[in-house]
Amino acid sequence: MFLQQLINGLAQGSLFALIAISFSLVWGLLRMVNFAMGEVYMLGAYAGWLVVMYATPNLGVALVAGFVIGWIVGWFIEKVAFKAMRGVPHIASLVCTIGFSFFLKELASALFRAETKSMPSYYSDTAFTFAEANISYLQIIMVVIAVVMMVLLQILFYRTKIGLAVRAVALDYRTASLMGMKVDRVTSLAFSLSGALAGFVGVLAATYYNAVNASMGFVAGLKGFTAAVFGGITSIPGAILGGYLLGAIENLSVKYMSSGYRDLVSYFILITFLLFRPNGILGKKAKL
Amino acid sequence: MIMEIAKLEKHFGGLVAVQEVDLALAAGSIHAVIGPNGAGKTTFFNAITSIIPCDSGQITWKGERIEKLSPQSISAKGIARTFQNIRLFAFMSVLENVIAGTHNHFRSFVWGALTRNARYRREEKESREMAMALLEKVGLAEKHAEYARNLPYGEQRKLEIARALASRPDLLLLDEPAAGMNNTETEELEQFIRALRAEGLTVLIIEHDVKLIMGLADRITVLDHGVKIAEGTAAEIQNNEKVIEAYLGKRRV
Amino acid sequence: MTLRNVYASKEGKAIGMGGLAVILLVLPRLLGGNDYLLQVATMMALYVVLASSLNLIIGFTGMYSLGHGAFYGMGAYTSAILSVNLGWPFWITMPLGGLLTALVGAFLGLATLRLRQTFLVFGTLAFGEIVRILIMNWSSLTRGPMGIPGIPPPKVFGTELTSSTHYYYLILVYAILMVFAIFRLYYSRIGRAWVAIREDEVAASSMGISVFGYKILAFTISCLIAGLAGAFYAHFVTFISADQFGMGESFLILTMVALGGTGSIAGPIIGACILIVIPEAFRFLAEYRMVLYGAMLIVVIVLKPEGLAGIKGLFMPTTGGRRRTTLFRREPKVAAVKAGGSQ
Ligand SMILES: Nc1ncnc2c1ncn2[C@@H]1O[C@H](COP(=O)(O)OP(=O)(O)OP(=O)(O)O)[C@@H](O)[C@H]1O
Ligand SMILES: [Mg+2]
Repeated sequence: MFLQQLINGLAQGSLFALIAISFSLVWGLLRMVNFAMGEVYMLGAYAGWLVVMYATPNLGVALVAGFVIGWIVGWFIEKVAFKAMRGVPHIASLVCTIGFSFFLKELASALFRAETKSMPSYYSDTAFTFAEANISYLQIIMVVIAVVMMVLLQILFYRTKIGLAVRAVALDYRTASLMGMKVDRVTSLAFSLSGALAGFVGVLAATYYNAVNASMGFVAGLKGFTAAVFGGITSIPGAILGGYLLGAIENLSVKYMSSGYRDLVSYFILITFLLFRPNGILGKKAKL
Repeated sequence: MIMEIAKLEKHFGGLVAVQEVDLALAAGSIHAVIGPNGAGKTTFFNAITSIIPCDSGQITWKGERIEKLSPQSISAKGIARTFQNIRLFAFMSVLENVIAGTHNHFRSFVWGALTRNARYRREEKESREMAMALLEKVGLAEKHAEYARNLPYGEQRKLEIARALASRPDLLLLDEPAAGMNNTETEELEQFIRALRAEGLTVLIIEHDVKLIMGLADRITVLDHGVKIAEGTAAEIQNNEKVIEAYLGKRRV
Repeated sequence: MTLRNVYASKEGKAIGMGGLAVILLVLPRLLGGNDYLLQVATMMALYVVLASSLNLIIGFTGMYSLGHGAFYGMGAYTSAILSVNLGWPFWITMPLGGLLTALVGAFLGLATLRLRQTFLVFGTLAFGEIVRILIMNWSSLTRGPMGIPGIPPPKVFGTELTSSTHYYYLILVYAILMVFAIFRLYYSRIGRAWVAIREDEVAASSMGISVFGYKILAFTISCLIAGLAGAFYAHFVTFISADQFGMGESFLILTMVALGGTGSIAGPIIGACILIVIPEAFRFLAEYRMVLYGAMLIVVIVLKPEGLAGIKGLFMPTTGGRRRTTLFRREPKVAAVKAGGSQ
């Protein structure tokens, strides 16, 4: 039982970890949060669902659709909430993305109606059983994807020219732009990429939970942010670590309290870390 | 001595911004702190006013230790300051900026504000008059209704001084008050600081304008790389070899 | 004389205020006994108070809260539970609801004092969610997802207030008192301290203003007012449940403040009125009304970050030492030349 909870926790943790990476991509660059990240994830899930229901039952295509939708929405949010608002205090941008979060959620619920759509299962067969705990193929796939994503992003950041530009901008926005770097393009890219990642995870989550609905984004976004803060929002490995820890803790805590209180654990972790260790477990010391 | 500072020290990571600095301030004097850029002068002020807590050392103010107090308690003890990079309340009016400086002299609170009772009205009137008088003094009375951020640079500096004076301090710390002022403004400032001393105020001033300092200061302390390298009257400082070296050495680099 | 001058003059203001008062007083007549519209007007008054109270935190002091819906709910639940379970009268449960909320607000203010901006937003959001989850699951006290029905209406001089007209007047009086109180606080020594903190915490503290104390004061008063609003709401609708006080509610109140204009007295009032009227006026849009909310917030924040009633607020004093303004504003076009140095 314990082992099963742990395995479920790790699978779910992969989802948290991937959303957390989305947050830390933007945070690392601009010290900003896209509050609508959860809603991008939700839109990705709908995109995946639409593909599977009406086009092709191929999960790969659905994942690509989530990725593309997320990219577009992330790109658009950057244009409106950040680029158009240069010179306005950061917090106004945050409020603007809060507006986006509400807008997208209500839009989805108006377009697709309030009821939960059911997403067919993929790879849900048990891959192997280990001390009475079942591990499905999907769970393995999710963990692999999360780890691969982390590695890819690390390579992107530390081994490529784009990554160098991104890190330069993250280090010092003004200087980077004075030195003629295309700061605008770099920020736009980071936003789109983080959106794409969120959209992609949305499809994954829809497949894992077999469900899509308009309000799935809010909790996912908040949990993803919690995971990012937990592990250290300034670093991608931190975000991954935070995601897995959060998934494990949440699933194991169900043993000790009624399931209605399950989300409380995450929110307590969020508040505690914000207050006492805002740089998270791994994060470098950074000014808030 | 109205204030005595002993072995004050402040580190930023590996950087020693202020190192074992001693300083004794005579009541009613004008005392200057000078030094090359990055010498630690501003940090020294920040440590005195607790804006950045010091790492070690003692500050005795009128016989009382104050280095552990919060900025607002230090203000309440009668120490006021201005900032090198002006920190006005940009979107408050000029008058309100100064009234905000009188905060500690009044006591009416939520109940007074809600009922506007006799005491509240008396206090509001008093603080307004006090602030207006100060604005007259620095020559900004006509502009009292403007946003502080709309003032030209020199006037913003004057407003900062007026705001600091509004707390009726015994010691005024001025961090480069003449920066960005033209010649006439600087001369006015000099007269103004003298007038403050005549009223019994003690002034501790950081300034790069050597002419201003030499004419104004009773005593001068020179900092370099966080260390006090000299102290004395203007004449003594001008002939001090270490000081010349610090400044010239800097220039050569 | 331009219209703006008329508004700015003393007489103009007196006439305007007087006219508004008369309209508010005879509104039930004007609506010709249309209960539904009267209830909308009542909700409007309630949200005017909620938005104004949140403005105390956001607009005056420069902090953030996405947990205001939770405070509103806390007041509602406290008052409802006390009157349903213990049979206490409204006039005792209502202030108790406010006080408990104020206490929790003070505590949250204390806890989140170190958080800034983004992190404060998320901290208060998580807090709001915690409150909602507690209400949802603490069934022995709150009846959980079933909500609390049958909340008794308040009594005035021995008679129960039952008609919509009664409620309208009751909540109108409350709203006017609260807005008036906020107005007086804003234009007092306390309000100056708040704005000073909003503008520059370091400078404020070296002017002798206790940043710590005034931030907590802002949170406490704001939550007190929101808690009271919750109590009035509970006894007005007579049925409450957890989902009425979730994140959506906090968001709605925040939108009102941001839309109307932070940091002015008129801003949140205007914002609240607009956002209550719109869903009613746009009923034909059905479920797209909510989409409109979100879109409006985005458009206003982008085009006019200071909100509709920005610097040149309609009812704002424009002379003397009383000019105040908003939080979301563009930086000055020509930045002042600032000398170097780290402080
Ligand atoms: N908050 C801080 N964090 C890290 N280093 C700091 C901080 N404040 C100052 N320093 C460093 O401490 C040293 C002293 O700075 P300080 O501002 O006190 O110099 P200063 O004498 O006032 O110079 P200036 O004449 O340019 O105003 C500098 O090297 C500066 O970079
Ligand atoms: Mg300096």
